[in-house]
Amino acid sequence: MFSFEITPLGNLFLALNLAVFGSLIFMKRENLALMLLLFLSLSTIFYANNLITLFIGWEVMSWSSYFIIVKDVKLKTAQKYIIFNLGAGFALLGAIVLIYNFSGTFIYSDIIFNKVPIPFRTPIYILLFITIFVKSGIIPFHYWVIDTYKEAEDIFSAILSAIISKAGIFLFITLFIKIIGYKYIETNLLDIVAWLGVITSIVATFKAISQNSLKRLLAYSSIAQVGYIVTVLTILNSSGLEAGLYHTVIHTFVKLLLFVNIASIIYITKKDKFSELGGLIYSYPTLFIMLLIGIIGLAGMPPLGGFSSKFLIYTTLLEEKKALLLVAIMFSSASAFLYCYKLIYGIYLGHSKTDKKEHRKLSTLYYIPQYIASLILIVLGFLPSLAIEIFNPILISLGFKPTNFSTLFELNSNFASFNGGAIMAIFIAIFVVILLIVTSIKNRTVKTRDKLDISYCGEVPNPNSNLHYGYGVGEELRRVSFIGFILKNSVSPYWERVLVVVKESSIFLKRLYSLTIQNVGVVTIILFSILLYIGVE
Amino acid sequence: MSLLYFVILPLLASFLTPFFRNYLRYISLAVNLMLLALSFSFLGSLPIRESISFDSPLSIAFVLDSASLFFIVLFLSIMTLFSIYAIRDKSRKDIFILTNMLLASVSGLVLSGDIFNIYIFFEIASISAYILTSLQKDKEAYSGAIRYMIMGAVASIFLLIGIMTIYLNLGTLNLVTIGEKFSTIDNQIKSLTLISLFIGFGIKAEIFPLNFWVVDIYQASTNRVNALFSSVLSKAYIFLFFHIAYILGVNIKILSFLAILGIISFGVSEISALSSKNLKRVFAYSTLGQIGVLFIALSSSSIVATTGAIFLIALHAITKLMLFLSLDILEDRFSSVNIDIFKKFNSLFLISIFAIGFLSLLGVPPFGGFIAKLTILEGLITKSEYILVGAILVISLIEAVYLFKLLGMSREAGEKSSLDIPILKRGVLSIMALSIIYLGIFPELFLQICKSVALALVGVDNV
Repeated sequence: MFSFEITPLGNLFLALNLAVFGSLIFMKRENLALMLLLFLSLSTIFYANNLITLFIGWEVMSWSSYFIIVKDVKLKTAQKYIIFNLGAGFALLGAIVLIYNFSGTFIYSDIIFNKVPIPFRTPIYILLFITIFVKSGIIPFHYWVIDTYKEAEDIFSAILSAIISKAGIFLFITLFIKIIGYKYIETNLLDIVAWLGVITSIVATFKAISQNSLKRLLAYSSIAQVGYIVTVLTILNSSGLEAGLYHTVIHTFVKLLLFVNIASIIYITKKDKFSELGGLIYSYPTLFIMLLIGIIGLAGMPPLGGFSSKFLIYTTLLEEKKALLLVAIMFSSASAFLYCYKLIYGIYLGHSKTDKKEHRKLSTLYYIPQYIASLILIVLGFLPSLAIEIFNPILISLGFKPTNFSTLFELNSNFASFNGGAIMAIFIAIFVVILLIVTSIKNRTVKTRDKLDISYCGEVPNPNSNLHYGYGVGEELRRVSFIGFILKNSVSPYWERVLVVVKESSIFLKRLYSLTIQNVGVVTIILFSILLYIGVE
Repeated sequence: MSLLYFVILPLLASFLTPFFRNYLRYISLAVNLMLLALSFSFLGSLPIRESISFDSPLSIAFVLDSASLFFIVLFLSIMTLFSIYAIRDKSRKDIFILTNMLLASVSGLVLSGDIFNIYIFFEIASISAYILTSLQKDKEAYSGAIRYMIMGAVASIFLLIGIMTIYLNLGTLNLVTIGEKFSTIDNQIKSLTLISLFIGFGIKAEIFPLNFWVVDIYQASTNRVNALFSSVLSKAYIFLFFHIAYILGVNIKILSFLAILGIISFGVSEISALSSKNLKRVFAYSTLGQIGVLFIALSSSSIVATTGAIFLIALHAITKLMLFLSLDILEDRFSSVNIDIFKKFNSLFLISIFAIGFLSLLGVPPFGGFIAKLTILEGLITKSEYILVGAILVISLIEAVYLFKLLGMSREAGEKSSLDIPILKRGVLSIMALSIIYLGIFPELFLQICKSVALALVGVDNV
């Protein structure tokens, strides 16, 4: 039943898994047994060589993470989490059983997808996509994601976003590229999936901008980023896979960094709202720099690794002549700057709203994951083709052509290339120049006695008045017609409607089991008469 | 060694022990263990047929094939675990008189090779079940017992009609002979027979729409009794239902009718469980749901699905015994069975037991329920029953809603009181939990056993 094989793809995901768990395990001392189980189940998924092992890993992942989060979240959120994830698991089981029916085996290498008759292929694809969408939080299956990420313990949110959401991506690559083989899939279906990914990223980006809670913002941002990965993976060729893998790696480390950074802030201040935070740069400059690195990676700006993955995504779409998708993705990632700005401004800049005396002391353990993640982001910005060197064995093992590159500094796509080393050098040079200028000016500025001492503006603020409006970013977006529509609507009422229908039918059907014994007798007699009337033959 | 021991020894234990009331529990444990040893001694020489003739047609014919041996061993193991669980409770020892009677009758039910003996054991089982229901000695228990008696009477009337028509037309009560000659009966009589037997056994096998009485009975009985009802009595009747169905050679139309009833049964009971606030009722609905799954699998005429069903029968028997006994511990402590008691206790052990039981019921790996579900789905899909597969998966999700609600409630913050669980009860519950995990991870050997049972049950020519 359990059998494993070591593949380059599994190695990559296991490395991510190890990095995430390795850097966080020391911070989360409770539930160690369940954490270990979760780690093992993820590893099982990554190294499985048959569908049953994969499914076992998948379900153990669902319930072990459920038992970890259930202590911290509300009952309703926990219910959402487990029902959606079990539903995804059951969809996967349905697809597995269907594949087994036609190919007679569960083992990856023995499955010949060609044997599946054409009418059954689309149901299999749809079941698999439901599984992937639920795990990755693609609209309309993202209903469980936000509340779970928000209410789960801060460190565990990092694990949820950094590695567990990647299990969906792994499943996508394994099933659609390795097992099914991309040539069978109808392009129409892939187009729909690609658009769902993009729509998810646009909607989630705007939802993220309008959040007042730090963790909800990151939760929406996580959905949006995974949306990009799903979109680019639908381009089933070597550059699509490469871009998807690149963004997976980047997103894992960016979200690890950001969630741990936010966790540090929440630990220090016990606050999770932009409207209650601000000005923390003076007390925690290291955290500020870490977050800066994180959002540069998140926004996909040079000189960090995030730029390389965005570059690959854009060129892949351009190469495939998916102009509309490209425009939509660019729109979404340009809008993402807004929430990146909100993160850094709302927390670290502006005037301080928390009393430093009430701050809790942050343990060094909180810094280690951030250092690791930012180091990787910087290295990947400097040597963008380092990742390509890791991806090439994966591409070869999945039957694609490896990508050539001359030096590790240079990242090539089919019609463009850039030199990460040079960009980094330029940025460092500019940074040094600006730093010199700023320090020389700073020596000449007059220090105010108190940061609230701005009464020359005409108003005299008191310590409680809000002097920075970073948290208000996104409020005005509600008035923009298209974006306002996104912000006002949500899928929750539709899912809740389903729940209400099931509950109502439950109350209705329950009456059958409270019938008086006379009525049960009557039912029996009626059944007897009906059956006798119909007859057996 | 005679097969009669399986019936006589428990009956003897049951009727003689009023004279040794204080040793009752030890005697019944000894009987269980003895019979367990005895049943293993038959392992090499299957199948065994024994008959004791009186005036024809009255005779006692016992058949022990791998199917009946499997069920005997299952029931004996359940009874052994139950006896060990209850052995220290001096106040409720009288239950053993009745459990021994129940054991004798279910052994008789699965061993009998003639249909009139089945009727007799059917009545013995019913009588012990009525009294077991009334053990709680309150208003609810008595009214439950009365309701149970009325339903039992209805069932036995229909069963008697079926047996009568068979005897009038074929002149024999032996199951093998009936199986050979049944196709020669006139079509209308055949319908009447099949329908009467369906209703008679269907009421006892708790299939929709003949199961509306069941949940009330579970609510009226104590948890220990429910444990036995759910894991012994209902399993015996399921076996009997399909044993007789396959002997009579029912056709594909009837089988698909049974599969439809199964899926409705599964769906209706799981949906009903969603809004139930009484844990006994919740577990009763869940039992009805699993019976629905068993009906789907057993009527698929696929040997793989039947194997899965046999696996599920054994596993569900263990799981429900475990869950009802855990509920018994909770009810003892809080004297309530409202679902709110899940918020009140603080015992990692009991929560783990419940979690293992629930996950196994849902068919989530790596627990035994998963293997059963996977095997059943494999069998159904090779028969191209796509709708049934889809329905099972969707309804399992509905089942997950209420089971995980209970688990979630147990982790909610609030006032908790600790539980003091005696080491013996802990041991019994752990054995069951570990066997569920073991069957989930190393199922191969047990699947092979289940396959031979399935072949014996379905009959090679029916595959």
